[in-house]
Amino acid sequence: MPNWPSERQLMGTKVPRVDGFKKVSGGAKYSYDINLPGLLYAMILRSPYAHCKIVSIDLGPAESMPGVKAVHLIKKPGDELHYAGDEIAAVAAMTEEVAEDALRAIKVKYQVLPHVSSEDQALKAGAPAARAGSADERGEKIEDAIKEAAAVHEGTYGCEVITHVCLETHGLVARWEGEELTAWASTQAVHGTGTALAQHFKIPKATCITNFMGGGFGSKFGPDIQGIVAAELAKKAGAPVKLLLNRAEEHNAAGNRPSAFAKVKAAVDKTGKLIAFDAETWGTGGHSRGAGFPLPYVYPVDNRRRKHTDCFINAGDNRAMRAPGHPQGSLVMDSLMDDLCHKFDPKLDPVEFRLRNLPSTVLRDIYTKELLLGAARIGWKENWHPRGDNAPGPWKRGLGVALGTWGGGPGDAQATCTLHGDGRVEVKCGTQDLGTGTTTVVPLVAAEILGLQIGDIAGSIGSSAFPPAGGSGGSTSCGGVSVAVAMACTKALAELFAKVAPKLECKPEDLQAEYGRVFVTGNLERGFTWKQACAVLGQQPITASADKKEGEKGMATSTVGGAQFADVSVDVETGRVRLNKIVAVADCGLVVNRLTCESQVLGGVIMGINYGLYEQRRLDPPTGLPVNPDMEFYLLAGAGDIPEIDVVLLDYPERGVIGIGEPPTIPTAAAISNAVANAIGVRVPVIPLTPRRVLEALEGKA
Amino acid sequence: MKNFAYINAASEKAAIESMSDKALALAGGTNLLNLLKEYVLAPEALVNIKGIAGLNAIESFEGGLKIGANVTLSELLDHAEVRGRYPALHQALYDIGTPQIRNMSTLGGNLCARPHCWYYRYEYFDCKKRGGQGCAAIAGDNEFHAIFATDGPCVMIHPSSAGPALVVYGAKVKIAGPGGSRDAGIEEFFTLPAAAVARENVLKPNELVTHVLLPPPNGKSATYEVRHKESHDWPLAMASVALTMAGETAQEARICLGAVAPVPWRAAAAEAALKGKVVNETTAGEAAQKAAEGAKPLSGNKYKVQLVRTAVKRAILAAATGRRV
Ligand SMILES: Cc1cc2nc3c(=O)[nH]c(=O)nc-3n(C[C@H](O)[C@H](O)[C@H](O)COP(=O)(O)OP(=O)(O)OC[C@H]3O[C@@H](n4cnc5c(N)ncnc54)[C@H](O)[C@@H]3O)c2cc1C
Repeated sequence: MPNWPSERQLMGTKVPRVDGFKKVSGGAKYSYDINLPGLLYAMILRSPYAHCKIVSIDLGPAESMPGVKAVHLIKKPGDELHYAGDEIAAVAAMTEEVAEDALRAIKVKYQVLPHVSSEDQALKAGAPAARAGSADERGEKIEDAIKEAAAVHEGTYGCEVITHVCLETHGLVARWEGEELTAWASTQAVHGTGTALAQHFKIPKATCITNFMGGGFGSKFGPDIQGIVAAELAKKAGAPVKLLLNRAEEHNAAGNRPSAFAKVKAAVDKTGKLIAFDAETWGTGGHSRGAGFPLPYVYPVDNRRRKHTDCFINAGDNRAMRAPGHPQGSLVMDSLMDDLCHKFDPKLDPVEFRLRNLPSTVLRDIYTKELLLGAARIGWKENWHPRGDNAPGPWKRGLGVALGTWGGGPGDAQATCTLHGDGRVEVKCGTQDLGTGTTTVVPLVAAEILGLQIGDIAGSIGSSAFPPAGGSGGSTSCGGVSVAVAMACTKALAELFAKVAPKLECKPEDLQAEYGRVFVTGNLERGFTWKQACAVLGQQPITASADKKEGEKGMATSTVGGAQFADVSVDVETGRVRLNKIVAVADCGLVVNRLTCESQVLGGVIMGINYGLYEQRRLDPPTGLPVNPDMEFYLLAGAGDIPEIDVVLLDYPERGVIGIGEPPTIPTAAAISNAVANAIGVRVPVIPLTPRRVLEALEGKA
Repeated sequence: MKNFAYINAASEKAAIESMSDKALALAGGTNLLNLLKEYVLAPEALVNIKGIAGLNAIESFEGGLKIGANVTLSELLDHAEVRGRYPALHQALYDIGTPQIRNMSTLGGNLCARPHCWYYRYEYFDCKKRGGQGCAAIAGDNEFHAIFATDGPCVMIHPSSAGPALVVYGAKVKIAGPGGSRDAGIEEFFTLPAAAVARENVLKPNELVTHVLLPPPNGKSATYEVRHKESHDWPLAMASVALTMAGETAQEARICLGAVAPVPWRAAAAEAALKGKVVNETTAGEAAQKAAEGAKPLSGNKYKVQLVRTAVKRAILAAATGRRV
């Protein structure tokens, strides 16, 4: 079984991003920055109503406007538009300003249709828009268990719809050269996007390039309508076209995390173990997509029942968003666990309560370790108190904890490694870097296997011209890419050893590559520098290809658990929550790059802070139109809102590489919500925990 | 945004001659440009007033200060006298937007900034200020809207954080128009939507704020702002307070609220409650209760009543003690 070198020089250390300087100096060219000769700018006309039908549409005024080079119809008369922001038509023009004027000149007659703009409206009897989703029932003793329980708690919890708010919006630049299409796309899947474009245009292949990317978080897996439209317009106009969404479009039409609400009744026996769980859940994932999420979450319970309803409303559809479903499951479940613990025994330590309810899987030991470690780092023993801080003054302090779990197994990936006669090493893989640091992972892993330094490796990713790799979703890239690169380098090295061995009068398997040398194991002197060794290749470079499948058993695995702790202060006279500290204990097996790994955890926690305290997509109740599709009324943490974040990585090198992108964002909001409840003595049931909601919860308590 | 002509005014006179309801003054642009981009405003011309000589200085004036309309918020924050003698103003400006926004925003622009309201900002909503039939906020999402003067045609909150502080100092606004120059009391400067729904102040389309006149402060003052986020956010409610003290007793009190009404909202009942009292937690709390009297919250912003009480109480105590609470 292949395995990682037992002694590692680079893996697990802190390696600065190889493209870091470019990023901070403006040298990095994102899709948005691609400017080609003759480039046209495209924009999309969108539905101004939450729900309507196109009666007629007149593109004439746009087509005849000077500077307009192509117009493309997306919907036709008679078509229904399902939300404010649904696409109608697009134009490409010589400037963005002309494109915008042209959109406003298009004449559309709409027939306005009744709309539904909230979960409550959808659930009302007679509304067409709610659909019972799944029902799940296991164990038959729920009622009995509840009757015999030592404590029963019933509560309602919820999370609002939030959007991904990628700093770089969705879109691409499309260029045709004859029948060849090239797209510079902001995408999490260069191969998937290239393939989808080729299929749409029925051409043998389209090339997709993503050298730098400003975030996707699960929302950028294909060309999307705007990508197809850009390529259509480019074809019609005979010129390259740039179409990247503006901020409002990004909020309205480029995906979101569904809302999640739950009315739960749960019970524990006299040892404080969960024995029954009965939940009604609902949420909205837009006009055609569901709002499922895992529940119960993390903590197992045999007797359980759950009924879920998807509320279809006139809003943009959901897309995968960083650990889809899990942050919602975590918020509901870990809030419930705290409330249940309080009901069972107000003096019982919630950490202890969780330890009693851990699953009996591989995660049991991991969670245990994390809970104890995290508790020590947040000062739990010294500062935890039963619910309600009795200190004088308006500021109340509290601590909270929550758990999360994720897969993160190795995704599809192939890579090639080429060794040149002059010592150059090229490694190629058709993956992409969403900002997570994959660009650095590739040379890092190659250098580890080849015994070189990162600067010795020319790594290339971000193009569908490179060996296929899957989309970067599910935290699968780091595992898949690391293994594919390691295997390709291992194979290339074996070929090199075969050629070098005769020169050193040894067998290839006696050779070793380390410290920039190729030498006979045990005798550093008996060997060559890397350059000398490669010189045996002359004009014939070695290229080896590998698939992650060749090494995934042994070098990568899946399933992680994480624990987070929050220390908060709440001003009970204003409802304002201030974070003092977050501790995030994360597990990702073998750490590849400790620096970017920690950075992923930091980013996950910050996203979780936003989820817990600030973000909320808001639709005007009467009209269903968005009131905050911007970054002013849609609140996101600024530097002053981020507390000290203590990141602790558990090292399990023997488990191999596991992805870390998603798991650290799962439990943050729940930990904060629990800390707030601990501080003020009452649960604020729905996140984000705004001043209004905190004050209303306090009023309800009084 | 709609194309517009750009007029660089070299003098007050030139600016006034160019300005009209179709040719708007451009100062820092932090507010105006957003509205142009959203097609909320679509003027034929912008008249740049930043080049007018004499509008960008802070000078001593009758024992107080004369502040040019083009002075930026950052310049005010850096000014030793503003910080030392007018703490309520300094504290009001301190957290506005971000450093970049404060570097561009002018005091004149801050006083004349258009409503901070999502129904005003997005052209697809009904808004009387934009010539529409009604005020979408009344039946809509009004979590951040007014709780005072909510029976009027528009329930916006006035965006100026400087406003309440200028009110408690009894500032005057110097206005230049075709007929010359006049001074308006700061409270007369701001107007309620009931008076004229399309504007927020007394300015005619061809009038310019040239200066703000601050009389010498007589007493202690402070501002307290309640906001959700630390960075890059707006107040949910704020209070500026100026106290004329005799020992620990407030001989006079001026209290003005921000972010809760279409104009900076003078809390007269709270002032009366504090007058003649020794300032402490209890009397500050009593005045705070009075400050919220008369509030008529909308469907989604009852919580702001509590915020007003907290802001007033904390601003009074901060003024009296000189410490931020
Ligand atoms: C994210 C963000 C957060 C903010 N937070 C706050 C806050 O917390 N508190 C706060 O008070 N403000 C806040 N602001 C608003 C900011 O203070 C205003 O945008 C700014 O003060 C406007 O000044 P300006 O010079 O840029 O005005 P401009 O944008 O140039 O002009 C604004 C308006 O005033 C008119 N005008 C400008 N100068 C004059 C003059 N001398 N005479 C007559 N009319 C004039 C213009 O025609 C225009 O209608 C925030 C802004 C942003 C973007």
